[in-house]
Amino acid sequence: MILRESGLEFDFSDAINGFKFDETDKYSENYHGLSHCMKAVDFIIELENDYLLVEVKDFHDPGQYKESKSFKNLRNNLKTKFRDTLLYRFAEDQLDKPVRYLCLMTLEDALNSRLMKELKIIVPEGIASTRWKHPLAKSCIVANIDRWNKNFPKWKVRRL
Amino acid sequence: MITKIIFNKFTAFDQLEVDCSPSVNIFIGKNGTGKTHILKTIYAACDIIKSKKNFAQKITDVFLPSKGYTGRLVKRSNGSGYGTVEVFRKIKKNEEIKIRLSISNHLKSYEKATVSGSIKRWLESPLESVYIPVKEMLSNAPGFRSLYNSRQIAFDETYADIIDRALLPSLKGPTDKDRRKILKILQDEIEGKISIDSEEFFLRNKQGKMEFSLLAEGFRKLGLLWILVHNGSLLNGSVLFWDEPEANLNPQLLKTIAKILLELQRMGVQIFIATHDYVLLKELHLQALKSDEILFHSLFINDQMEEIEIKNTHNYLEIHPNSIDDAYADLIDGEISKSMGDLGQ
Repeated sequence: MILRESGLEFDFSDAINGFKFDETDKYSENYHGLSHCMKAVDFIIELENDYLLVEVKDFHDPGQYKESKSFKNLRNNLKTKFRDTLLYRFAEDQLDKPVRYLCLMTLEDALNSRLMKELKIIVPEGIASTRWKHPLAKSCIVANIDRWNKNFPKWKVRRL
Repeated sequence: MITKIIFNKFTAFDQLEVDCSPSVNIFIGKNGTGKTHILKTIYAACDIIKSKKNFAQKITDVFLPSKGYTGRLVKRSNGSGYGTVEVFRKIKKNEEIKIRLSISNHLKSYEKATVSGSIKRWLESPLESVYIPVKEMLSNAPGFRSLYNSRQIAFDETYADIIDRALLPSLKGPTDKDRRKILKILQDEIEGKISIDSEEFFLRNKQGKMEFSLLAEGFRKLGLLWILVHNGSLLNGSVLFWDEPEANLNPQLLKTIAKILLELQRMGVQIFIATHDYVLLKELHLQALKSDEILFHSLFINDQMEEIEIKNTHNYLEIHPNSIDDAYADLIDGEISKSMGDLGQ
């Protein structure tokens, strides 16, 4: 399954299905259509036992800077994208497997480490309340291209 | 201003050439890649201009090889061998001179080492230099100098030197605008000024007079900088060497340290720092103006040759390898493995 975003190409080699979730083309079968009220992650990938929600930001692309002026904005934006996508999938009745949130951010490791720590708290990752039966996100990961390729050899990414 | 240094079979280095920025030079690299060796060698070459010591003697005193055998500074190899160091310095717009030290590995005393190059010009052209070692020394100052001079103690000479520099009396005349600005930044942070009373350092502020041994170590470090700027050891044209400024400092204070280093550099001080600290590195990058010529030097061991190499860049994001950021990469790998198991592998 090959998918492209922000000048990056992903190959999810073990995916059952995968598509661009924030599709803006009206005539595409995966047209999102609610961008006026809901944010969206870039891709949804279906694996045998999991869904991956994937958000990509390549900060080499100048356009991406404007969208996330500060660390806090970036972090909150990532949270909202995840939550809105989850709600959209709930309404689609497509939450039959655990969801894992993967953010590919082309930042240095020190910043990604902090971003991951904060995102895990605000998403939040895992069973966050004793009242919960399921986590919203089973995993919440932030990695740059090097870390991504090292840890996910089945989902290789490369710059186009 | 120091422009370049070339090592050949000296201490940890087989062959290494370091081009220096006239402004700020930051050395990063894992332990054992020779950051401190570079700082100490250049410092020895700078210090002899004022102390008039023999270059080989000064190098021996700052490295403190076992039994004082100068030959032990030559990189270890089988049989006989020589080690050399060449330090290059620009003394006028169009005049670059060098000083060269050559040591045989059999050498016991520094006296038989060969110092060559433009020695006379080197020593004639004045230069102030300061080396701040990792361990804080001012709180140990009382009596240290006389102990150091009379006994064999296992402190390399950078420790005695920094106390000497700090004990220098103030410069004559009014303090210039640039130095006043830096002193003000420091005073705001330590909320006072430093005074010296028979080799003992005190912080004077609203609460009274506090001896250095009772101060937090971060304040002692900022206090030391205050003294060095105040007494003119750090002036336009001086060279500052600082090994691990982050040692024993709260990361919050590193913002101030970065600010002061950049101000010193703008005033005309050439700076050499060795660091393991992400916050210091990042603060210097964030606070630097386009006109500040910060040069990041990354020291690393070449996997094939198993020798130390160096790469430098003005661009923070292009530091490679970046031993400091790599530590965070390991943390990220750990988090991913914990959270994802073997998914994607």
